Amino acid sequence: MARKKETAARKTRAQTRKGRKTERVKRAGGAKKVRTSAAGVKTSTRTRKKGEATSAIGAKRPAGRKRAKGRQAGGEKPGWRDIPRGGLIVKAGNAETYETGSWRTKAPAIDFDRCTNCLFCWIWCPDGAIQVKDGKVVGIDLFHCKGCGICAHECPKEAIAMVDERRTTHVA
Amino acid sequence: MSHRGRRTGSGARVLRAPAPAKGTIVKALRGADAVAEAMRQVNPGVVAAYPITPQTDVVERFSEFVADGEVGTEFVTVESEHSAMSACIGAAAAGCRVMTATSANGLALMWEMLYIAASYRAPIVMAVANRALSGPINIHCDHSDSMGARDSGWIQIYSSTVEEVYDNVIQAVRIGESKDVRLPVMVMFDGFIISHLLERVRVLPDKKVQSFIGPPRPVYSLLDIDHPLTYGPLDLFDYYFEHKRQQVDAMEYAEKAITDVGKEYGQVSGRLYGYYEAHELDDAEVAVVALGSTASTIKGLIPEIRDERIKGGLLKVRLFRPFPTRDVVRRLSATKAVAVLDRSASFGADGGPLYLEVSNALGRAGAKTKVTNYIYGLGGRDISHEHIMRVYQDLTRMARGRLKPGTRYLGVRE
Amino acid sequence: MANLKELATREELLTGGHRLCAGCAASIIVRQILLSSKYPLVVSSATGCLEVATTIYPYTAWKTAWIHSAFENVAATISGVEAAYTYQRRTGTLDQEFRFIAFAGDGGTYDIGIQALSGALERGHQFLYVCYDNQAYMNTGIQRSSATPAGAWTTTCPPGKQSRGKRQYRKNLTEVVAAHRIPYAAQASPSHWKDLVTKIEKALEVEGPAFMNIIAPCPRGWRHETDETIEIARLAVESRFWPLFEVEEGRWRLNYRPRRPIPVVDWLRRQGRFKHLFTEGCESMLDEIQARVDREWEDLVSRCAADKERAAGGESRTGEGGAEQ
Repeated sequence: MARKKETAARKTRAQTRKGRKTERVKRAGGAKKVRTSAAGVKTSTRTRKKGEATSAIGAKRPAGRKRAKGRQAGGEKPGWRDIPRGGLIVKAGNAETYETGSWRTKAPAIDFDRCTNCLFCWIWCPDGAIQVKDGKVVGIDLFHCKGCGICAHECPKEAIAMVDERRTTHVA
Repeated sequence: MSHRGRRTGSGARVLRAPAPAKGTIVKALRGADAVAEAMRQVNPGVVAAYPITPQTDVVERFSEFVADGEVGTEFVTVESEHSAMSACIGAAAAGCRVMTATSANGLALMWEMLYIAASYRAPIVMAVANRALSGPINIHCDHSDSMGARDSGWIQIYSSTVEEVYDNVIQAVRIGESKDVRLPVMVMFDGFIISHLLERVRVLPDKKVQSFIGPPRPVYSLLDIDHPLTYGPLDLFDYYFEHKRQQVDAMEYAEKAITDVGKEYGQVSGRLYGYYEAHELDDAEVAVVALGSTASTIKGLIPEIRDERIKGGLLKVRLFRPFPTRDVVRRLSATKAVAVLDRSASFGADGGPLYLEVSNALGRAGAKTKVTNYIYGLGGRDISHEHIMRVYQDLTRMARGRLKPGTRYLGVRE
Repeated sequence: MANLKELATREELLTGGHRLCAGCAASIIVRQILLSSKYPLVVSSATGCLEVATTIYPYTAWKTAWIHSAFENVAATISGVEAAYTYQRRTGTLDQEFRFIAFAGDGGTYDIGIQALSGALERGHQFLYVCYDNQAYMNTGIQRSSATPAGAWTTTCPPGKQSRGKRQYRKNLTEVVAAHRIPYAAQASPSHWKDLVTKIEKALEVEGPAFMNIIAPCPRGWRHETDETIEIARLAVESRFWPLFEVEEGRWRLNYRPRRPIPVVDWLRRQGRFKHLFTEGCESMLDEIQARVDREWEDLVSRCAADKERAAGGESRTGEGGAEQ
């Protein structure tokens, strides 16, 4: 319980860290730069490449319309002529490219020897972050996992532990 | 719109109307019946509507068409106007041609959804039987309902005769669905004064209407299984402004669409439509600007005004959104004094909504024309022959510097 | 019904990368529902946590067609979509069969959206309405709704010198909906996923409107840890605060009877929003809450028993369904 309280407190602190230009997130794959806009919307270098903003939206310009000069250079947001009208999002499920893993303070680590593949962790994951293949748990999608800990809490075999990121082993 | 004399003109600037379509039938219809008749001929995929006086007759007539199988429409008899507009938005997003009708408090209950319909670029057509927006509650005509919605992003067309309502409803379908426009359209007709007035209407053959409007051409549909869409996301400060800018652009495209559709409708029906209708303006020294049924009344009085040796003209504004600013300047800047008649008040403002538009247009163009405002007819108060004569007489005094412009009230007891 | 192995082979229609809080029950519920459908879906959401967090422009977490228009009107919006669908199917311009699901929180359902919901149910559109009931206006920061249980803290019914949290008992909305005599209405919990999935499968097959009221613990608003979401939902069921039942063609049926029901205080105690009730002088309030839960449970059980008896007189029906996970 004490551990959980500490986690919650750290999380609150993390959530209030808005407006910083950069922050470093340590992860299994090494350090990664995350840009944070003034609004606190994170644009990780992994999710957003140059010019990709357009494709994420699925921008389509009405025929015969010229794109304003200098728009979209260097990942700038597109202008009004270059986005679908009506506020529509035409790329279904493109939130997949948005990283929520950076919210996490602790990550689930699976002990595959204990796992019986009951899939309770999978059905109760709010972020669909438990990776299942052929009916077996194969890993955790740390790009999206927010570290809520439901999987660890509910695992009937205690095969999942919430651990410090640096010691996490996972299959991505 | 049908009588084109030497001294009349329109936004379409075509002076001679083509011959009426073959198979046209002349019917005696009330305004509400004319709307329902146009809706029957359009035969939209979905109608979601709720009854309210004086629009009720529209939904009643349309219900009969549904009951008799004269339309193929899915008629959603909603439990409120808010739900009416919500269902219309859902149906339009799912690729259907959608229509509805309302009045006053019903329009007010839709308020939130009006903005959303326009933002989603849903080309819904809605007939609005103008009625005073209470309170205390009143069921008669004024324009306080639709004037309040003037910034909601809808195209707004005002009709001044029963035949015009019929024509406007049909044209609204094409205007709203035009490429690069894709906006909802409100067709206004004065409650009771037009909605319950029996007039001669030259009804086009069903087939003509169908071929004029063509099949619905949705750009996107929620029912497109290969391209799942997200309609109405959370749109924050980083994109919202761009989406609003697109709506401004759509209104600019609407200007052309309205002119084109008006001309094409003229070819089909023999009745030409533009942004406005001008009567005796070419040599006019003074002019009146009005909307709706009052414009028709004034039109009928112009020969009398001319007999009084007043060089008076009339500018009947058909479109309020987009507003024909350029046309107003072109047609009125040569006059000495203009009176703008408003059937709604804008409390605390410098005058009624139509006045503000006209005076802004002329002022920005640097015209020397004096512009004055009359508020009239609130809650269905009659505007009489004498009132109109008084306005023209005031204008001649104003033109000679003997009366100052300002906001005056016609027909209110002091 | 589909088991977990089978469900896991289906495509996830709500992707990761949505921005609901860690441990949010709403996304668990939505995942379970979307996985239960064999049909292509059009989803409509009322304004609320689910809507804002899953579709922050230019991102959408939905792989289904999705529409949001406002807060109080999701039932009306989906009515319009369904009417357009019916028209297109009738006129032969659409071959594909679809199902329609509306999601709203308790604010959008119990309170501001009840008129549109009632209207759509009465009109009989073919759709499933799902209320994810997190028992307060969470999206705006935890304000009381008519679904907030008595005694709970919210920012608009805070305990104080003269207050012990919310004074009123919650509205029993599932009963209100059942009174519309729609083909299917049920109550479920994400903790009892098997029961939930079975109910969704049923709800998507009935002809006409279906309604599901699903308890959705909210770590932020209920003041519990993020990993306890499912456990708190389970305790709500085990304490009989949130019974699992269904009303099929007007027949009430209890789906799960806790073998050893826990006292409601065991559920309340786990949530920070009730912590003021565990101070001196609040004992009578806890007793009252328990008495209310007991009475509602007895009402439900006797109603279900009466319907079972009546059904036994006619066609034979299966008994209470097991909903253990």
